[in-house]
Amino acid sequence: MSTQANRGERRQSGVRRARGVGRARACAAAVVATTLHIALAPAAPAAPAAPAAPAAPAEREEVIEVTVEGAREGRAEERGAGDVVVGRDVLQAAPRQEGAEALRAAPGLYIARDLGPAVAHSYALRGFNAEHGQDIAFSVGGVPVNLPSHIHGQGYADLGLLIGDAVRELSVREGVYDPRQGDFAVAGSIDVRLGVPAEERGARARARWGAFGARGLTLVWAPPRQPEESFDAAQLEETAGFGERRGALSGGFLSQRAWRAGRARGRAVLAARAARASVAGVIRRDDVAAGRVCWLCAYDAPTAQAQGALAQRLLGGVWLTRADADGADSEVGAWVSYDRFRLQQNFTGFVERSRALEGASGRGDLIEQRNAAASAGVEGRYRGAPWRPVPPLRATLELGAQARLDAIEQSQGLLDASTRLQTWDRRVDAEVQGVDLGLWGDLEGRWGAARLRLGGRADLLSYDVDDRLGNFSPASRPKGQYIVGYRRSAAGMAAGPRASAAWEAGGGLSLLAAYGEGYRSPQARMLEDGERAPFARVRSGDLGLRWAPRGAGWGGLRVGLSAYLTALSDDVAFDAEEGRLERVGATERLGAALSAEWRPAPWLVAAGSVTAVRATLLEPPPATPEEPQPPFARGQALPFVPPVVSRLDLGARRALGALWGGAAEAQAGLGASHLSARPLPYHEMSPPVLLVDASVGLGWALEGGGGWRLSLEVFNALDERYAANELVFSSDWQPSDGVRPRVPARHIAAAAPRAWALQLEWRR
Amino acid sequence: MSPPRPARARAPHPPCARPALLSCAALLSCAAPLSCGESPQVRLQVPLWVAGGAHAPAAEGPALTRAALAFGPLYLCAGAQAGELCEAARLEWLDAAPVDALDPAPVEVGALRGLSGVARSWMYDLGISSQLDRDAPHTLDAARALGGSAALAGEWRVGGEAVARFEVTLRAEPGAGTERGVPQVRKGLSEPFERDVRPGDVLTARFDPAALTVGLTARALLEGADCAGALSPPPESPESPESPDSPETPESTLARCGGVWRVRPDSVAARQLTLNLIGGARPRFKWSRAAHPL
Repeated sequence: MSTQANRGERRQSGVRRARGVGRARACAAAVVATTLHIALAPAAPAAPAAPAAPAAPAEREEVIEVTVEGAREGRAEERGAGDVVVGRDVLQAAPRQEGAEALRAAPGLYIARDLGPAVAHSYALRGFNAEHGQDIAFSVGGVPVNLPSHIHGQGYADLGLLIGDAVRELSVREGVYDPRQGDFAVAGSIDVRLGVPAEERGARARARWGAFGARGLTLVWAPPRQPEESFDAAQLEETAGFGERRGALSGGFLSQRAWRAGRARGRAVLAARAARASVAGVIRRDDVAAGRVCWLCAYDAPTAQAQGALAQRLLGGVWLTRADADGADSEVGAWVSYDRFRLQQNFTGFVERSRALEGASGRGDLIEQRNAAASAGVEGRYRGAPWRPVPPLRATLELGAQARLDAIEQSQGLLDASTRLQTWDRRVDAEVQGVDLGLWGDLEGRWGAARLRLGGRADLLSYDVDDRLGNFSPASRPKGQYIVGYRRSAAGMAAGPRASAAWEAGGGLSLLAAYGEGYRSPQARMLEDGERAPFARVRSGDLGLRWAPRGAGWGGLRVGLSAYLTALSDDVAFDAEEGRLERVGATERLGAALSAEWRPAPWLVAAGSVTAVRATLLEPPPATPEEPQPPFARGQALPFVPPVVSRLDLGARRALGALWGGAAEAQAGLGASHLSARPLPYHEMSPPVLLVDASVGLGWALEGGGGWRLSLEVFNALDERYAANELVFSSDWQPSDGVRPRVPARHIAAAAPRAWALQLEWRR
Repeated sequence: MSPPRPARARAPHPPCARPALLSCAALLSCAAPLSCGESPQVRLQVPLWVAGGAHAPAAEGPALTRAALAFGPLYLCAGAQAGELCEAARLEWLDAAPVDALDPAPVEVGALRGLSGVARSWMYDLGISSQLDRDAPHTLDAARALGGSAALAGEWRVGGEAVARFEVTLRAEPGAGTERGVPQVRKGLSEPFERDVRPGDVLTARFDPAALTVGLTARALLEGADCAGALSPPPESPESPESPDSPETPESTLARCGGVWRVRPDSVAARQLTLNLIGGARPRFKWSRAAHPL
């Protein structure tokens, strides 16, 4: 990973790549197009490409032409000490079963798939159990992925559309210190930047076979003469799945084009994905212990065997950027998205009663959730030319705006799996329209080695809700004198400052501090008419340092250390009986993160991180008739949040020499994730988990171009038996054995055991 | 619907003070998985004892000689109103056991399993438990052994003397049209019950046998019972058998049975006794912290 600074987009052409072209950040020009004539002795190391006048070629020296083009930010973008960019070499160091697993390289982030490929991952970052994305703002190629007011959970973000070959880097912003961060940036935000670097461009086809009947085909087309952002990639995958009811079919397409016209640049991205998967659901730990169900199995009841999910998504966006000679630059963009989601899942077995049909109960709590969201957004920003009133003071001001519209259709009911999925209860039938309008300003002042940013952001969110089951009377009660339905509208505003300061102390050491206030929008269906929409407010402070010693002996070492405190006014937790998120109250996270990246040799890359956090509940959860005075102690630990998350990525790639008219190359990778024991409700702990993925590969590059690569990957190499998700709630999965249990019990969704995959890749 | 919300309960030791942002020592001490401030709400087992009461029969009316009840399953709830608002219980005992309501000595019948914290209401069945997924209720072994929810036997006394014997088996089960899946006997809002349940607690349910026969009249017993045995003819009046001056009283009719009066399950008397069983003869729940409730 590297810092956000110096990440100007650049393209090099020529015989050799010029190293260090990005170091010339002092240059204020936003677009640089310079032709350098660099004299190099054949055996000499590559010279740094500092801005320089064209050098006269010396006699007997090789003259190469290097064209450096860049659209450089007029200023560094780093805010908090937790801002990092994870580069492609780190992302590709360890084996990945799918593109979204690249996110595991983000410091402090843990992801798991507990409901199969058609349901979004579960995410945890900086002590936030972000469920399916409510606390992390994800974007892919600049297009927002989180879906507001989703039936399965606020901020639902399915990153299954990622294809690993097309992930260029991750821009990770931990905390909320950048005014551009909007809804769901509670723990932070992650932008997945797309592209295929120059050395990997061309055509590529890869076939994959693996354990549990897994097979897949990936095609990538990245024309060599085009910018690294331009590519097409497609993927088809199928698996029978480990254990029972985990078979899945999925496919995706990802495409991006970048172009330049004078001082303007453009970029367009398109993505499509569809997936259908069976879902094993959850099982009770006491049933596993008693031998009533096996660890990787699903319950035998039809209501359990009918669990499954469907995901369909299409999204696209266009961005135009203009950089003026005076250092000013501006950007406008627009995006659209359509997402369709359907889930059948039974968490609780047989404990539900129908509200719509009198006397209907115990037919299996197979929840059907449907959500269709059509979204569109526009955004624009303008950054003025640097202002230098008194040298060395340099200031820039950026103003920007974002707007998005979401039209959501959602429903939830109960299905009877034993009678051809008859609907036996309806819980939600609603249409929601939401508009989010955000404005921000950001002033940066720079004085020598010190840098200060002051900014702020305000968001107006408005909702129109047609709750077609609003005011519904259960069948057991007298009919009301009205027509069922509850239409309402509400709006709210969230505003807060974003500030950061940095000081370059010398020797590659930077000290950083940041403070910001952000928000998470509410689930629109929970709002009353005319209510001022209550936002979940997040206040976050970050203090840290970053050390990147210069010099060849350091191997590009980068170390970041930060401590943070984050308070959230209104946290949520998963409600298994309704299959969605419900409010639990205010929470706080106090933590520290250490990350490092090191390239001790040209063929070796290592990256690691450790995040330790104490996540606590600050106030009692809301009272309910069932729990009028919820027990609470200030400072009690939030369950399900791993206090310590560690990650190590190691990648090695080394030439073996000539072989059969080509050049052979060996590759090995290792990825290890460690989750400490997680607190669960009622003073219980889930065991710690150590996951190790490893790969070895052999590549063979043909002299005429192209080549083959064969690799073997092993996932969960230690065959750790662990729960991808663990929940605690009341259920009855054995209704025929007697009396219904009502005390909350531990439930798990088993994670994948050891698995292998063999990949054969052809490239041209 | 009760969500599986995060644990919440009182802390047995002080929670972490909010440390300064840079207080690494505090950070490390609090970031450890098992450090201060964790929820102390724990899973526990509470021994469950049952007991009857001393029975001093009245000179007139019914006097029980046997009062066996099938008690359980039992749920303790966090909310003040058990029933539909107790989908998730604080503690539960999913079994049933026979209780001799005439024996004041406590007997341990099992243990409630669940979570610590405040319990504000209770609900239970009498060996026959309605389940959500089927029409017929589930009968537990204790009720199967008794032939129902309760087996009562007694004497009818007149002037301190037993003139007749009766016996009845009662089934406390939900009737048609009542909601399935809800225990039959639930704490009323006016009944006091609140306990912050902690490890080491013991619960005793004590039944009062006198409450079982409240409202039972000789006439109701006579009209709803069959004499198992010979029924002697009514005594002849010296004047006329139909003389209004010497009507045969229910008590005297009861006394003519040479065997036992068996109460029919569909009789008024059986309904009265079942109502007593569900609504009147509620146990007194007593908490203690001794290994034995006495």
